[in-house]
Amino acid sequence: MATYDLKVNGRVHTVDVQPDKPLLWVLREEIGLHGVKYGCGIAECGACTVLIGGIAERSCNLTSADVGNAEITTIEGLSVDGEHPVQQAWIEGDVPQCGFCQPGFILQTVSLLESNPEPTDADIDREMSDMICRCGTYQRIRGAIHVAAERRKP
Amino acid sequence: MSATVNLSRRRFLRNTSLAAGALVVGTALPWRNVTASEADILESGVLVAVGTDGRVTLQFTWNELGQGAMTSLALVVAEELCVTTDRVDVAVPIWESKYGDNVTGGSSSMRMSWQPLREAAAAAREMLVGAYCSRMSYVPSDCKAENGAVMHKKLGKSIPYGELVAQASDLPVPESPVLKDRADYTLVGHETPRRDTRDKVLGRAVFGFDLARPGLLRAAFARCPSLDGKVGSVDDAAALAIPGVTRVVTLETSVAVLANDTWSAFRGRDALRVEWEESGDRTDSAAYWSLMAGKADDKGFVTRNEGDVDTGLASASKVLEAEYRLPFIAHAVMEPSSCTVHVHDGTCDVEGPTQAPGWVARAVAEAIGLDTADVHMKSTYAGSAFGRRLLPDYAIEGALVSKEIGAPVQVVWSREDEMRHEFYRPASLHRLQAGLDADGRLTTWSHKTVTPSITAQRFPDPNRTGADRGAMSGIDDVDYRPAHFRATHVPVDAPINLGWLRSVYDAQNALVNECFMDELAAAAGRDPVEFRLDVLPDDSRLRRVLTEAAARSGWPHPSQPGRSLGIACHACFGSYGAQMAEVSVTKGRLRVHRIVSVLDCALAVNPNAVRAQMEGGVAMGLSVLLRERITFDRGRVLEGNFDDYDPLRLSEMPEVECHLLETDADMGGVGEPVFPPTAPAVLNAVFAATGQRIRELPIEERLRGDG
Ligand code: FES
Ligand code: FES
Repeated sequence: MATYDLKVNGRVHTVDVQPDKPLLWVLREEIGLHGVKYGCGIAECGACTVLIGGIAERSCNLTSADVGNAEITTIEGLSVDGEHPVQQAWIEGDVPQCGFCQPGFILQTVSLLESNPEPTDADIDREMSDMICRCGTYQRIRGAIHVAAERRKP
Repeated sequence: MSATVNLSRRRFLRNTSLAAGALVVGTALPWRNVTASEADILESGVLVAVGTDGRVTLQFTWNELGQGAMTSLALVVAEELCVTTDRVDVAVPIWESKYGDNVTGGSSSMRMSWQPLREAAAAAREMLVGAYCSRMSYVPSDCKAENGAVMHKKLGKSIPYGELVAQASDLPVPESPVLKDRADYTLVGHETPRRDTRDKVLGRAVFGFDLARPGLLRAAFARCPSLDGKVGSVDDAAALAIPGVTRVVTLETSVAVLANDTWSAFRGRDALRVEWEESGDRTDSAAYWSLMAGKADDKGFVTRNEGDVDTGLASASKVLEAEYRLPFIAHAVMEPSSCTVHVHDGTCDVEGPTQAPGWVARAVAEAIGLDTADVHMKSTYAGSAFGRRLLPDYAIEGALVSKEIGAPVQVVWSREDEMRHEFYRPASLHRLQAGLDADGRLTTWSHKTVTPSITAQRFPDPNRTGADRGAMSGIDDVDYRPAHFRATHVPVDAPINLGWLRSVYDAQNALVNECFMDELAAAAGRDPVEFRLDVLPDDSRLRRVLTEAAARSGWPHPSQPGRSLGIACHACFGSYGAQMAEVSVTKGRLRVHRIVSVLDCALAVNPNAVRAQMEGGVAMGLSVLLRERITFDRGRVLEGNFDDYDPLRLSEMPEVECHLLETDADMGGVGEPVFPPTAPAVLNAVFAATGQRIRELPIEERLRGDG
């Protein structure tokens, strides 16, 4: 076992875990953040996506040690009550079906817009296609990304 | 007349969140006894209540699987009770045996509840109007309900529902409440946002894996890799050495590793060494295809026979034959299976995602020797379902372990567990024959399918023989009417577990019908739409959606040069769908640019939710067409995760244009019907683009590079 101080959603959590335990399970079961989802465990689906220093990463593919001092943001920490422009765009577009994949897609979008505030469809294709939505909400995800980009404009 | 009753004064409304003092009206569901007693109606689980605060509660026992059922059902109640939707709360009670099986599947939740829900809500409305009239000494015909209150049409003095509830509760339920006219709808048929969206966008929706509570043990299982195997010997030393692993429980057909957390449970399971006693002839995919091909020469069971196909073929100017092959595929639900089970004091509590709480309860009760009535099931959100969660296997595992250890357990499946141990859509091999006359019209059609029966495997019955009606859905009930028509089923055993997957057999059957139709139209040198219209009766709703799809898509002209069009149509689950696909193929790479989808489901209660199902149906149709297939070796499924079972990605999603057609017919389903016509429309467009006919799925690896 090893102890780590993880900065998650603006708070420091001290966890005592196996060093090789994936961050996904640390966030879910040590810290109780259930918005981080388990879909594949091999970085193929994106359900476990979190922001690390503002950049989307697959938490199933990282350990606590990999994160170091960086700030981790999960869907629970993205906003107090859904007021983040990406969440707003998602609500307006009524994007989710089962909803399971959506925290991952939302956080991936936040990361995308940070580096590319006005993504083209081709940019969206490139950035959002190593994730899976089995319900097939892709058309609405694409629409919501454009709406969120518009909203973020100063 | 259905059995609608006043339950307001019943004080045994336990297990509900209905407020005291409410006006409560209950209605029997159509599959229940319509002469039901009051108690039966209570037990049917469809109750509409108006509280003293004027809020409306709808209690129902369908499961929200992502199809928007909660929103749409609340919409119906709000419409009939004349309140805004934000005044309606939806309560889903803990399932008990009195509710019946409560299967959420087959595009049924709205179709089944539409009538009883409206009747209950309309009865409540009339009772509130009645209470108002007796208080004000008006006659009902001068009064109306509007926006949560009752008022005189001319004098305008209104009293809110909440103040009328007590008086209304003492009134008898009207014999035949007058339902609102469709033309007066202000909510039903209008775009409505989903109620569950916010929770899902904020990460607050609770799914199966999220039922964490302190001290809860996680259970991961080693299961026999092939069908029907049993545990031989177990070496659990390495598993028990993993930190966090607390215990190993050996069952008859699986071995459970219990741990304090999910990851340790998975690791412990991976460290188990189990020898399996495997039985049966364990086959591989190639051998199974040979078996199917051999079976295709069998006579099989003819389920529809019109005219004389042999004569028809003999006298045809042109005869075409083709063979299509569709592999086993997986549901690959987004959240692997999971549920939490606690066996205690002669009862069993199950909590998790399911499409059929009644089936879970029966299976669990049988597995651990309880009465079904002693099993209680609480549903969570499901990380997609598509038919996978009709099966109770994961709950049975949990119950067996919980009983053994005397504590609650959470069953956790890894992605690999889910991929290799679920219930697959049956593979099928189809033989088609058809004849054309000298004018290039279809005169003769024969469709024979070789495919295993899900029913036969899931509900074995030695007395059952003949064709499986389900397997023939979309083969023998098509609207096409050539002079000579034959539909045949050759049942065959399945080497792996079978399950119901969105549209069940209709997606496979539609693909084969519609692609072969396209082959025939091409052979006749005719337009594929015209060619189909020849054999569709004038009053066929399929004819209408097909014509509409052509008209609205610009058929037969692609929107841009370098693109090609394909079209297909299919009816199932009470609805009629047609689709036009616009594609291009460059160096063997298929790009689907646009899908124009037309659906006639009679009435779309919430068009927003219907469109979502249409978009999802297109995505799944493409996914299955492009890459999905389950292969096996010695009876073991080879695919294990999303790296080798790779569903559709966002970059592959076409623009989907949805068109809904209204009709006065009975309401049709929306979850299933758009999936089947997708793949054939695209495949026909691929032919138009490349001249290549692909008759075996998935197609990505089969597309020619020179297209
Ligand atoms: S669970 Fe991490 S990418 Fe799928
Ligand atoms: S909404 Fe169900 S998997 Fe994306």
